[in-house]
Amino acid sequence: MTHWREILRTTPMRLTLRLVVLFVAASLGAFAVTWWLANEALLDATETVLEQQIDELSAADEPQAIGQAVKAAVKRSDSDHLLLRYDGPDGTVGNYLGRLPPGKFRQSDLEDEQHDVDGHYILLGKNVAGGTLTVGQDAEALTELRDVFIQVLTFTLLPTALLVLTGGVFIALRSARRAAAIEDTLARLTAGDLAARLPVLTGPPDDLTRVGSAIDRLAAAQEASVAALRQVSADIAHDLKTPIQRLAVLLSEARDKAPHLEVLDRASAEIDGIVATFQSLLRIAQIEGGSPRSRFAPVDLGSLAETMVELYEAAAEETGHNLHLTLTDPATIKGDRMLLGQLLANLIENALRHTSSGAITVFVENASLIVADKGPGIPKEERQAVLRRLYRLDRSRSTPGNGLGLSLVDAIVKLHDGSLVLSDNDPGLRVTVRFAEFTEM
Amino acid sequence: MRILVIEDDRTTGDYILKGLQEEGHVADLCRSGREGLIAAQTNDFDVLIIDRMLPGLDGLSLVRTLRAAKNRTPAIFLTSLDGVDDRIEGLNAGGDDYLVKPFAFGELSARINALARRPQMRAVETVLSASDLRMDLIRRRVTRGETDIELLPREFALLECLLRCKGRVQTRTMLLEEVWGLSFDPQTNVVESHISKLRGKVDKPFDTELIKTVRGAGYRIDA
Repeated sequence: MTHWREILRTTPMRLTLRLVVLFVAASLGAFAVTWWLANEALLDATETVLEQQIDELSAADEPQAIGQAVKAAVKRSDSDHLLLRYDGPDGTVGNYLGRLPPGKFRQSDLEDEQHDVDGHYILLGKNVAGGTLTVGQDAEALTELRDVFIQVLTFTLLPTALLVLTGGVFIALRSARRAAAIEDTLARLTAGDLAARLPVLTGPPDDLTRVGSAIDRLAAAQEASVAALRQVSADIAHDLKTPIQRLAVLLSEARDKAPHLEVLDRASAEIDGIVATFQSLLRIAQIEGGSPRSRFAPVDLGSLAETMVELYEAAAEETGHNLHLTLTDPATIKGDRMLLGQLLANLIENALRHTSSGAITVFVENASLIVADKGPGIPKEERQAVLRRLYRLDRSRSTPGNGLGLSLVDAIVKLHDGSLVLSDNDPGLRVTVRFAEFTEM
Repeated sequence: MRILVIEDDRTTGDYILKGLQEEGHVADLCRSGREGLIAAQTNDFDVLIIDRMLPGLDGLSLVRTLRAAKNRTPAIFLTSLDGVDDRIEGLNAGGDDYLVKPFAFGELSARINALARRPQMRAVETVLSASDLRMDLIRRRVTRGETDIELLPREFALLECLLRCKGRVQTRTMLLEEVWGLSFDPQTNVVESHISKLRGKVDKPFDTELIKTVRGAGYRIDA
């Protein structure tokens, strides 16, 4: 019962019902008008015929003769089809002697058992010499006309309406099934089952299919971001547990040995590391959460790279590296200068940290920043993974760093709608960041 | 100096208060925003140190209220929120500087000193000096005693910055901001490398060392 009520509430069913009502009303109206016109035409024709009859019968214009003519006519005709009656000075003659409704041209149900008269008749009365002459014809033609119309109505309008209704119910059932599938998936998603996806909807694609695939995409994005969040939480727990453990050891050591500067320095360095990790994570979260682009301003990549290379040159020299800058038609892009500076700093620091010595080159080519080193590089299959937060290559576990440098770079590039590509520098790593060139409007 | 600290965390508040008093400042501590606002408006302080997250009235609103009342006392925000947006928001609200927790006391101390002296630095100086070191800002010449010292532009700027704040500590982040115009946190100690190159030219060939390293804070050239 409730099932049917649900179907009635679906959009296709409502539309169908409305259309059926409209269609039936319009058809009925058209039928009514047609029938009325046909009926009138028929009545007109009948009246003409009856008038002729009266004219023939009353041609003599003398009561005696009219009575004779009527009697003769009665003998010739069948009272089922033709009624004749003359109310003259010598009484009434004819094949119908019953009650006569008033009026000139009229329809009426008449009954006269004596003359076998029973049915619906069209009557025309006229005053003639000596009295009233009334002629009537049975209304079978009118009844037939009505029957034809009713038949046409039954055999065309009703089946059409029924067909449309059935179709509507069918479509409504199908759409109700689809809606139920979508609702079911949404309910599962709400309940926390993020792996829930819509079953394949049968039939040609329509608006519901589009809504369904949009829901699927939403759920997939949601699932991915929750998975990322879980991954990060687990990584944080793991990556911070180790330094906190070391810190606890150092502090207990310091307590045993009385204040010992070297131990305290190491403890303080551990805390700095923990804080740096936390701050980088927050920073990435903030940038990924959509650091406002309203602060974006034109940034000259060439001069920014010059500043950063100049800043790191001294540090690079100390570690036996050779930091170069090559500018090829540097472009101006729209971005956050501070974040772009951080991006370059992270890439340069990465190169400094993961290569023992040798040349590190920063290229600025139009709107692209490239940092290339001659170190061990990153294996092809690991290139996507290193962008993940806290991910570190096995061999880098011993070098300083928290595994957030490239994640931050990735976040900054995404904020600027740029692209980040890690490739082989043969040997070494080549990081290419492409931005859209900023052109003054 | 008379300094007002508005900080609701007891440990941090006491730590700052103790540190300031050890440096010879007169410091007051308020533990809520409202209390702090009243104290800042009724007394004359040289510097305000304000936590951004405070019970009652948050730090940003507090400074906005003070600035609206034409109170121009320099204010430093302390915050556990990291990020550019907070920094800019804080400076827009009328703060003069910004420090992210956890911070080293040396960093806070250096920034307090920098803020308090700021108005007096207006005088246009053309020659800076310390001991036998002379820096002619117009001719871009640096000499120590009778010897000319050749400096790269960035080394010149670094030395100028230290000389201008003679007697006060300049932290690494302060130098990054002043000399390179960058406000970010490098993992590598880039500033240290520049200082050591500068030392190689300014201090190494001579008997006395002018550029001092202040443990846990930064660098200083004594007056």
